[in-house]
Amino acid sequence: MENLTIALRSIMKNKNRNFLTMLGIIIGIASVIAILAVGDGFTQSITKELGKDNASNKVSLSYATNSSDINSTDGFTQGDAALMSDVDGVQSVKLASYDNTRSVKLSNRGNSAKTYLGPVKKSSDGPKNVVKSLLADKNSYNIIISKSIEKDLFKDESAIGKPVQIGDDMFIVQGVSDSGDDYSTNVLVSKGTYKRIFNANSNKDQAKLTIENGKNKKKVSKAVLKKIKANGEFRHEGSYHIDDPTEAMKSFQKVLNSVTYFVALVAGISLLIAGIGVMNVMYITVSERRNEIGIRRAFGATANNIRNQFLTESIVLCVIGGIIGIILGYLAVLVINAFLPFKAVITIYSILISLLVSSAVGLLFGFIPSNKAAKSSLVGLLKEE
Amino acid sequence: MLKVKNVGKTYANDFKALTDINLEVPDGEFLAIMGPSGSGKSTLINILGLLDSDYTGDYFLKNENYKQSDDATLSGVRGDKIGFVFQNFKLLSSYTVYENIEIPLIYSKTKTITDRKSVINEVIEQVGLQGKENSLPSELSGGQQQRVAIARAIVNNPNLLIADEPTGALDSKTSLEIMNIFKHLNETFNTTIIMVTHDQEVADFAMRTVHIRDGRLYENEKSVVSD
Ligand SMILES: Nc1ncnc2c1ncn2[C@@H]1O[C@H](COP(=O)(O)OP(=O)(O)OP(=O)(O)O)[C@@H](O)[C@H]1O
Ligand SMILES: [Mg+2]
Repeated sequence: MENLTIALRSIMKNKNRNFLTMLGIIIGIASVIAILAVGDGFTQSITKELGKDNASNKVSLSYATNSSDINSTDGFTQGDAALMSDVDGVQSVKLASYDNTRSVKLSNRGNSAKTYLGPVKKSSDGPKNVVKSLLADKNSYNIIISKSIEKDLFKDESAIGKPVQIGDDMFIVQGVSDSGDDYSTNVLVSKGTYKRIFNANSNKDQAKLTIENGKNKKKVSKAVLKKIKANGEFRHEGSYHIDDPTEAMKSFQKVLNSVTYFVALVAGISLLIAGIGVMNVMYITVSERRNEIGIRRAFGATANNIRNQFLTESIVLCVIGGIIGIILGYLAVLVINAFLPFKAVITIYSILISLLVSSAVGLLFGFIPSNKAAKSSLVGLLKEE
Repeated sequence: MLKVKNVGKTYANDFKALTDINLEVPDGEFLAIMGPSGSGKSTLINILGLLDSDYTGDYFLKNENYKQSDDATLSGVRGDKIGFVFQNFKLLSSYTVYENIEIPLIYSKTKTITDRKSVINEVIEQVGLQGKENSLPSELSGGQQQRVAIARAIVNNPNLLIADEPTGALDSKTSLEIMNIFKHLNETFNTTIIMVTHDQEVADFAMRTVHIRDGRLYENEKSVVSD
């Protein structure tokens, strides 16, 4: 307690110099708070999402082929689907394909473009009436292309009503959509046409199970997996997995983690520099106060008392910096939240971590100067003015 | 009772500051040590005050030899049984009179915090500094500063008061005032006082004076001259 008062007095006496020393701690701790807030906020939002997912009664299984041939037709067959729906607790099985686009080459009188093609799904995919007609007429040869493809194939002319060749088939452009870049699906056809012409040999690599109400989702999906592993038609050409929705989150988390590591590195470096600053300022304090140390020692202070006094000062200095850093971190989180798709949250735990880290910096970097103060020869200390 | 037997001190640069010192100081004695500058007075008094334990020979304080003692023991004895008064007062400049006097109590194991106020007020009264509790040393005269230092030295009721030229920075009138406080402490509380001084007038307050020359002690008993 006595040490705390002494420490605060001494720190207040040299406010400016101590504040400058604290800057590193402040920045370091503010970044620690911000990273932890983003991480915690992310985890919380994910946990909420997962909670929704877990409540549903859907499970999906996937098939991964061993073959390197993209056109391999391995996957789930209708037989596999029947097999799976026989499993107790499974209400229905739907086969699907992860990959819902095809890489195609479009050409029009000498101009050609390579892009992705897929089925029309929702009304926002293009001009309303065209989408409507494509959704209604499953075998239509009408297509919607994106503006960028229109430009590639027709230069400055309008593409509406003009023919485009894709593979061996001719299609008529009925609409042009605004959206689209090099990596999105730039050509849309009707579902039936997509299936018939482009998806004919596409493999069904996904099986979507609906579990009967009241059944244990995990148990049922395990039973299904066991059955398909034993009997699946292409079991020798590939492997089956239960899709873990957390799996996708995990890869997200990986990205977040690498960001976290980076910011942690920045925080670590600034804390290290701060620590060296603290060490320096403590050395200065100790040498400025040799007289005081001598007096305290002569009147009963042990070397340990002196060491603890300066260690306390160093820790208090860092913790004050830490507290300012926490406040700054809080402000930073308010700003960050304006740009994040989820809400970063500061937890008690992250505040504790911050206080712990700042105390640790004070302890670590204050130790050598404090020890120097404690070990000084008493007669020498008293001789100085 | 304090006893020094064949004590020698050699500094790191091989300088022999003290040679074969023998001295006995009974409880309640007021002893003055005189000698030319550089003769070894401070060196000796630092050993007697347990500020310096790097010496040869033997030193007994109340029949206790502290030569092998650890830092905690030595600090404890310094804090509770010995009081120091220095030539240049050695007060903490940013601490008030009250806070300066409080320092030995902070480290004492025998006093609890509730005692502090009354103990401090008592010694402030003894040295005649009532009303100056909240002053800073810079707001006091040299004589008043030395009174603060004396109050600090006696706040733990030490058996032994070590004073290295306590009047060295004071004029002769103030010096006499300080010496009267010493004498009063010695007579009232039977506090043993060992004081280094250059000033014969100051030394005259002591019961006995010893002389140091070139690191050697010369005893020549003096009759008690007072007032
Ligand atoms: N740390 C040291 N290292 C080497 N020599 C020292 C050291 N301290 C003191 N001395 C020497 O020891 C001798 C005695 O010093 P000391 O301080 O005891 O003298 P003193 O009698 O107190 O003198 P003064 O009256 O000037 O205070 C001096 O010659 C001094 O140079
Ligand atoms: Mg001296």
